[in-house]
Amino acid sequence: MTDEARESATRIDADAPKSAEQPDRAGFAKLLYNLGLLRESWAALIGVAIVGFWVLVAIFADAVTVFGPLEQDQFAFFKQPFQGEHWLGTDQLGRDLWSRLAYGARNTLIVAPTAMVCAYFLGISMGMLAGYYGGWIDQLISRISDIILSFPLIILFIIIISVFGASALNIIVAVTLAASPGIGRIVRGLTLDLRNLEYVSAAQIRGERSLYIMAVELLPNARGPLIVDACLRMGYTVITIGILGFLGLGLPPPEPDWGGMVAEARVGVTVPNLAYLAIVPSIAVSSLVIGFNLLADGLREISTRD
Amino acid sequence: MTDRANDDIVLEIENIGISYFTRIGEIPAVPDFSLRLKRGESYGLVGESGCGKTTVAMAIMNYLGRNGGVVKGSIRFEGRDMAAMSGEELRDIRGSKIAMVYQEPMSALNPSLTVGTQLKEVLVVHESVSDREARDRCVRMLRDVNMPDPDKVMGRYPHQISGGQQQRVVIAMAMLSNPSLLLLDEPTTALDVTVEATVIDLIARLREKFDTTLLYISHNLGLIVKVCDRVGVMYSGSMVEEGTIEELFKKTRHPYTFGLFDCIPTLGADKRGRTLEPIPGQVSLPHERPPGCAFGPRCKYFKPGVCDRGEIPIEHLDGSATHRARCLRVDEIEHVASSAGSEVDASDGEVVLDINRMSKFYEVSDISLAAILKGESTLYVKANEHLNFKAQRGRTVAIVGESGCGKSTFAKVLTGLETATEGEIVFEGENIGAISVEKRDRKLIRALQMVFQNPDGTLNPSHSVGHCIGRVVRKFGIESDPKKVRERVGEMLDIVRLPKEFATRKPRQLSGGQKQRIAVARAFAGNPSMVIADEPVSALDVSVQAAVINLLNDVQKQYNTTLLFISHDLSVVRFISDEIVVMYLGQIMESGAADTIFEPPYHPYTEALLSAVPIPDPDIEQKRIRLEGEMPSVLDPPKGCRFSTRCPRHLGEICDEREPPNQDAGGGHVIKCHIPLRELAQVEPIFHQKDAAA
Repeated sequence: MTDEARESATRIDADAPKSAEQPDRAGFAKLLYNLGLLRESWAALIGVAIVGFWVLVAIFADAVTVFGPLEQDQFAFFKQPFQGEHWLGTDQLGRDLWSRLAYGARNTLIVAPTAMVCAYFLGISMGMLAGYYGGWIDQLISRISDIILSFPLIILFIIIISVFGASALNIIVAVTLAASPGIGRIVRGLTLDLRNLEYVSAAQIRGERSLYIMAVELLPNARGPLIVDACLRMGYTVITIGILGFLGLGLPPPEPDWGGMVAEARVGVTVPNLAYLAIVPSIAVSSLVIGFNLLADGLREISTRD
Repeated sequence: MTDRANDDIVLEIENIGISYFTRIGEIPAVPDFSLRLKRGESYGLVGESGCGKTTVAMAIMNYLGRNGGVVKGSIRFEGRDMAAMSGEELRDIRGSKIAMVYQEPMSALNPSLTVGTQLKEVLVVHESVSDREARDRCVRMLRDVNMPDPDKVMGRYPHQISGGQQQRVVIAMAMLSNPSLLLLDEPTTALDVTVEATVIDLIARLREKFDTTLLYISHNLGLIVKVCDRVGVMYSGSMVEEGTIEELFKKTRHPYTFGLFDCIPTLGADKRGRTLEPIPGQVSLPHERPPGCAFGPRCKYFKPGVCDRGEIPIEHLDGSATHRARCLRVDEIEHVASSAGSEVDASDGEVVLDINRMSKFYEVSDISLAAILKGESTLYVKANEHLNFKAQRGRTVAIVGESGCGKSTFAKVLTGLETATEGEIVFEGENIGAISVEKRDRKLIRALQMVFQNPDGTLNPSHSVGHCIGRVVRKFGIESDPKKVRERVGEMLDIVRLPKEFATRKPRQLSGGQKQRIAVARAFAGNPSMVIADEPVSALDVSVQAAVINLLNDVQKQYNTTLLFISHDLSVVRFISDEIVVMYLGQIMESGAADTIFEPPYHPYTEALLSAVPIPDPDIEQKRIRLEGEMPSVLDPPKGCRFSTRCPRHLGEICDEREPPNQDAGGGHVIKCHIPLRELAQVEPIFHQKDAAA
């Protein structure tokens, strides 16, 4: 009773600004406007800054590093950070840690988004079909999802990678398989909600094909929650890739890989002055994950405010 | 209830201003409002949505939310200033001395507690009585609100009782502690007409019995006439006219009040007799209110230099103590009621749609053990049974009935979203009853289009108006060249009287009425030969409603389209339709030309429906027929006549056992009833003018 009352009392306030602003925008101007909305949330701003930093480092890895990621400096094994020309130090083979981080970022930021795009493509297709058609199609898709979701993830990864071998492509396949059932569930729920709206009936009555209804009438209206979810999931994927690397299932050495770097540093963790070997790549992973999470939080905050 | 001492004033609102504080600054929702209610008085507050009616009620309850507040003036309840009361005192008053009934009964009741628990709580909290005594009083109150079987209802959960019963529970809850002021915010808007009529009766009766002061908020002038002594008309946060029922309805003075009357369809007239005159424009937003008269921009008597200068005071009229209006030109205005209606449309009599014993059943499996043992595990929901009627080209056929009567199912079958179980639907010479929309060819799909009820759901929020109409144009092969499509979209916008620039707008930038116009444009964009409109105006404000009805009428005439108008509102139906089909529980009870439906012989159900329609005219008296009980479940309909369980003219066994015949009253007027036509024809009409002497 109370919420209803409050809602009706504040309706005026909710309606007023909406019709007052928001003029038409198109293309680039719209993008700028939407980016401008990020200002309204600190979380989103910090998230954008962190993610943006790593994206720039990944793109300009050649420019921001002095040494190559595989280049060994025979005169500098186990160099501590912030001393001399290797400013994050070097590892047991004399490779520059900053260079390996930067090129590692490039690998992570290629593999993670690619895996996400694939997972979303599969997840959205599954969820849309299940939600829109219902019946046995829904049963089939939902039960397959349940089976995949009931596997402990790590075991699933180990099975896939050990069967098909460690490569960027197989990581993408593994992540896609693991993430798409979750995405499918979200999309299925959103679809169930949307398909009973009158504009869907209107489309059916004008004889639109199901594919058109799903792609043009339903999908654009599910994008809000999906964008937030994608940001969160991107963070988890970065962790997943890190874990795979740490378990030796990531990119095969000597490719620079954040998880792999931590794994290689395992020997040194117990030695106090070698801990930086593990700490530096760990911080890289955490910061990127936190960046994506903050961005997701911020987007949610902005999207629920209006 | 007339002459009372001055100190018997229950509520006195003096020049209050209510504002909300938001990101864009202070929004003065109600700039200046005064109201005085005597004990036992019943006051109606009318106006369109966004006029601040609910805000005033919330301010009285001192419940404006975190960002709202009373910025000036005072609200005195029984002589005490509410602003000076502590939170404790306020809590004490709310729910005991001041009670409120909300629009949606389902959301006003807690779904996880029984009705009894929720009712008793009022007494236990406010009067600390024992559980036993509380229970007794609750049962008595439920009996007072005409609840059948109150003892049993106490143990039920809200979802186990019907909407009308829920609202009775909410009213009972409000009346339990015998409040001195009862606020009712659109208490019947969510209910069916016949249920609405019983709830209105109940409110009127309770008021007499308990001598409670009522503040009745509604947009429906017809209801106000039935329950109130005095009426206030609100526009954009201020009172624009106030007076007794007699004064306001018969000596209307303010242009806005005229406007409200001119745009309501009444049972006395149809589209040939008069036109509806919508009020142009929309209620201005609180922070964009024009200087001077807030109604100025929409007023046809607006005079620049007079009406837009400074504050306009509300002044007494013709020496009356009660009748006041806020208008400077009130003495100069000579209002002429709307002119004659449109001419009779020429129909060539060609039958476009011929429904022949069409039925639609849904299968439901009953998995209870008893049903399986009996071998009756499949039940049929008879949503439509043996429907028979015809529609001629260019005519408007209305399907009327309360919720659950199967009118929307019929629309689904017609458009092919569902297929008929048996019988035929012959549309332009082709039987389409069994063809689902996927199997229909483009020509057929194009010929049958639909306008939906809910303006917020009818347009896809992700696409622009232009895309939405353009898609229909392209889809049906009217045009394919992008430039021509754009031209056609512009043309359609022109036809629904919206500027061409609207093509680039997104639905969220449009008002409810504008969205509905776009929906009409979309339906007509493919030159359909028949348009089905499913409650197209019931979610709109009266002034907007009038505009959309006129529009549908005009566009229909322009294209010579057959219109199938589905509605529960008999006044609207009377206005727009040429023929009417009355449905109850999946069957057609009565059908015929519009004017024959509104005069005897009536089907007993039609008679009850007509008796329940609220009429905004204090001079018209309606015969009082109220339906008892609830509509039976469609899973288990009565064996004989569907209406037999609630029929006030029930004959006896024959009604319960045998399906009634379709009696032809001449001129295509068919009544499905056992009572001989001769007898039905002798029934006195529902409406009659009150005697001048009385």
